[in-house]
Amino acid sequence: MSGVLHARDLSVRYETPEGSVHALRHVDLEARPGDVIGIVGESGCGKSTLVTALANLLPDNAHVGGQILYGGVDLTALDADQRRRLRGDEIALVSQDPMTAFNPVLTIGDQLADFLHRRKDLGRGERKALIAAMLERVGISDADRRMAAYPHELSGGMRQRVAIAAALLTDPGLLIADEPTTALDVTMEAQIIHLLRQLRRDFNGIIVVVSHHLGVIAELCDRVYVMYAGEVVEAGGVDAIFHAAEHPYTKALLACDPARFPERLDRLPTIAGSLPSLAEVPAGCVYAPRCPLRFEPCTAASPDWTVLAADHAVRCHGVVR
Amino acid sequence: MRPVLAVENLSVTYSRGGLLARLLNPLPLPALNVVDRVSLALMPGETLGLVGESGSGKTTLARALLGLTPIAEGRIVFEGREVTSPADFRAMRRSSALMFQDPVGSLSPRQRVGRLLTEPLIVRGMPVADRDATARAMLAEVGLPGSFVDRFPHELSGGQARRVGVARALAMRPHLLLADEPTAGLDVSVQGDVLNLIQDLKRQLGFAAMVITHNLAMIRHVGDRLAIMYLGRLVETGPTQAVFAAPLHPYTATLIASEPVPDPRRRRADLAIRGEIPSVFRRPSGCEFHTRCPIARDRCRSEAPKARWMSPERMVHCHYPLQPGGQEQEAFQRASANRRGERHDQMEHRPA
Repeated sequence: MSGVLHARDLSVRYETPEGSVHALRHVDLEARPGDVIGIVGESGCGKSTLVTALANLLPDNAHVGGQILYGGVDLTALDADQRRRLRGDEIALVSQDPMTAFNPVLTIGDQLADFLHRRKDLGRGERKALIAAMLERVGISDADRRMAAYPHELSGGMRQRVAIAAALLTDPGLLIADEPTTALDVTMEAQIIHLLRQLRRDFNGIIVVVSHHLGVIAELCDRVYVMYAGEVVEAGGVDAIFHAAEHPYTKALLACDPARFPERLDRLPTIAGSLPSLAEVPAGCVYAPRCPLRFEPCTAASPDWTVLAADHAVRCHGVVR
Repeated sequence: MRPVLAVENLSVTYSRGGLLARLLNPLPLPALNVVDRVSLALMPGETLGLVGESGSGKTTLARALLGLTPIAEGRIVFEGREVTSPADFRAMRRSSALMFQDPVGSLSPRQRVGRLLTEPLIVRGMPVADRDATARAMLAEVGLPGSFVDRFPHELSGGQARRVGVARALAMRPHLLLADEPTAGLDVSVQGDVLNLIQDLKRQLGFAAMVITHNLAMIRHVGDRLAIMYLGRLVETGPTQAVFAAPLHPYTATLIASEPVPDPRRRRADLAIRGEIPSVFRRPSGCEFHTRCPIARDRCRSEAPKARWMSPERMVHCHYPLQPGGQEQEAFQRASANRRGERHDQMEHRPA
């Protein structure tokens, strides 16, 4: 079952003794098989909550509103057993930390074999061959020796490759990479970006890349969702986001990235102010308290989507079509 | 002008094997050169960027400079005086400061900010008449409200914790600040804040800084000079602008080319570098970078390059440095196939 991913008006709220925390509010998101979509934002913007929701891994105290349709099935309405099955078969997650993603006391080969537990038709030798082929595919040479290795014997970049191999072994329709290069050095990061691009050639599912690193998003994605304080504030094709951004937050975020300036700057640009508390979300636009272009409507009502082009929409009162 | 800090041929070695292995082996195992014959000088008011991947020995070098890790050989001269004995190092540490990598982790979770800030003064035996007022003054200096004296470290955001770290490091008015990954883990909007703050205070207080990082995009705007480290050795040093404009060492060129560019119109086709940083346990023969170098030749595999000064300011450890317009530079560009500006064919948008 590979299919279209469609989140509709997705909200996630946690009840805490201090009040309700609105971690995610009214998120709409769409991806078709073959798409690579990027979710970008700073810490606290809700990107982790969003991927956790997509991977069906939210804790029990999360109150989910809206729908996540995947291949026509509403993931939020499934029971625990159905969810578990979907996670193993259809949805795979590559997490940020390649150090802790594996069990330290089992060999890589044994752990990868677990990802094939649904393939009861395969014998031991066939499984091994399949795993070895997958390791080759993610760029690990000498697969037999690596399968006998323990996680601590591999470098960070190598472990991230193994994590990607593990995710692909289940032949998922939806692959979520949560900050896949954050823990890696720049040369390893470049190699993992290259690997993900290569994989895309013969992978027919959806890839969701979550990152705070604008460079990674620009290198990998077709479409980008920019998040701020639990909301998507701008969505569009990667070129529109990086070259024709309209939301003041997207613009400010892009302007902050020192990688955009080849000449030395005496002062680095910053965004003044700080994130609003998710327990007391501002009444109007979430970005209004920090926005230099704020005017009356911004503090009164939350802005609606303004569609700028077929593949570019923004939530800002200041943007007129 | 006299350098604040001058280092000559500094090496840090770790002995190998446990006690048992050492007792049983008649011949001692060769020691690991974690930092290998590093020479550097830091002028007053200057910011030096020490750049390298994890495992290149950056942090070990910083610790050795302050006497926190014993040095195997080499000389450290701080403000004109050679530093040798533990007492010398103690004296040096009084006028230098280390900003640790993990901002929250380096603050005691059981102490309030006010106490954490005045602690360095108390430890150094400075008379502090009013701890609270002193702490508030220090907070004001780094742009935090005075009310923060009552907060615990876990009540601070990443950026605020960094600011507290800056205030603490500068409490003793050091002449030298060593900042280990000052922006690791910070969002881009906050990263600029912390760096601007350090720059402002540097101008105001006039200390020299050494910034240890693997973030090239950041150091480009902050560093006056760069020192690139690979497997414990300095492979290239030079003024930041010049190094970025025309890197001499293939490793430096590779690092610069690896940095993802936040522009989808300038996606890269492929990457120059293959493989990973080798382990110091198995240091490659000859030039240590030859295993990953796209233009390595036979000589690189057998003979270790010596330091070459290409100009009075630029040093490189390479047999075949990438001089602008030279055949090595051309070979590097060809070998790396790193064609910026060309779109990757498989990255074209597919019809939905």
